[in-house]
Amino acid sequence: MSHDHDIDLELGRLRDATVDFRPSDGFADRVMAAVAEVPEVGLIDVVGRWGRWAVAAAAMAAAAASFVAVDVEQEVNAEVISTFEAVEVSP
Amino acid sequence: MSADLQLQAARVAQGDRAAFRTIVQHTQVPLLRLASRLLGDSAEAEDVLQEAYVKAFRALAADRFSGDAKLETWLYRVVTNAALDHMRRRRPKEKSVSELPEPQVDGAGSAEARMALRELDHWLKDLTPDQRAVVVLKAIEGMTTPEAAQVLACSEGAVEQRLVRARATLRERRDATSNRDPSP
Repeated sequence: MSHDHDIDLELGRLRDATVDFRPSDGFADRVMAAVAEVPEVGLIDVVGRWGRWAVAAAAMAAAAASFVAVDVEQEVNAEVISTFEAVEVSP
Repeated sequence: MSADLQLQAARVAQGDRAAFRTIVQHTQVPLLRLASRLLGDSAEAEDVLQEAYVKAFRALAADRFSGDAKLETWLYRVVTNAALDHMRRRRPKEKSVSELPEPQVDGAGSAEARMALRELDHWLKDLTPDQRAVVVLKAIEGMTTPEAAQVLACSEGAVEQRLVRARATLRERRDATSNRDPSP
């Protein structure tokens, strides 16, 4: 990258020459005035904050319920089949 | 200082708006410098910085700052994103340094610094916003590659790739300029 030496020199010069920047007078006051207009954290923010966790928890609960339902259905089917097999038909 | 600012951030999350003033007062100078270098205009940079502070406040008040990164690094990210959005929205500058408007005198920066900022802006004008951000963060702000990657929320490889492309563009520009204006 030796052929970039002049580019590095130029960037270094511009870095040193652009250090002296400060916000204009009253900048922090203007920021705080803008911040004062931001509404308080309300119900919507709280719902927004916890909503994603609630959705994730609901999805996991739904997946678990489906798994249990399938499992129970298989057990019921097995019981029904075994009941049929146990039935003796008398002549 | 960083620990103090993390504490102030926690206070803002608990509803203490005044704590945000401390954060602004301690970070406004380096963040304005960053925004100015990214945008090439200190007056525009002040507007963008104010907008970025309001976004940061909203995030802190809603407890969306996780605290995984240093508050300063996170603020650098917020300001860089705000500046990048601003750059993408505005029309590209095609004027030469001499055609650009005179630096405004109502802001706060020395005349030399304003002149140098125009020169930097002109020098980087052919870069895409992402390439420009990498050059400013690494070559001007002096960040390491991991730090720049954290601010830009991209991989270190992406930072290096953008830097290589940016350097290639700067080289082309330099070569074109020296071919057009051969020194005696």
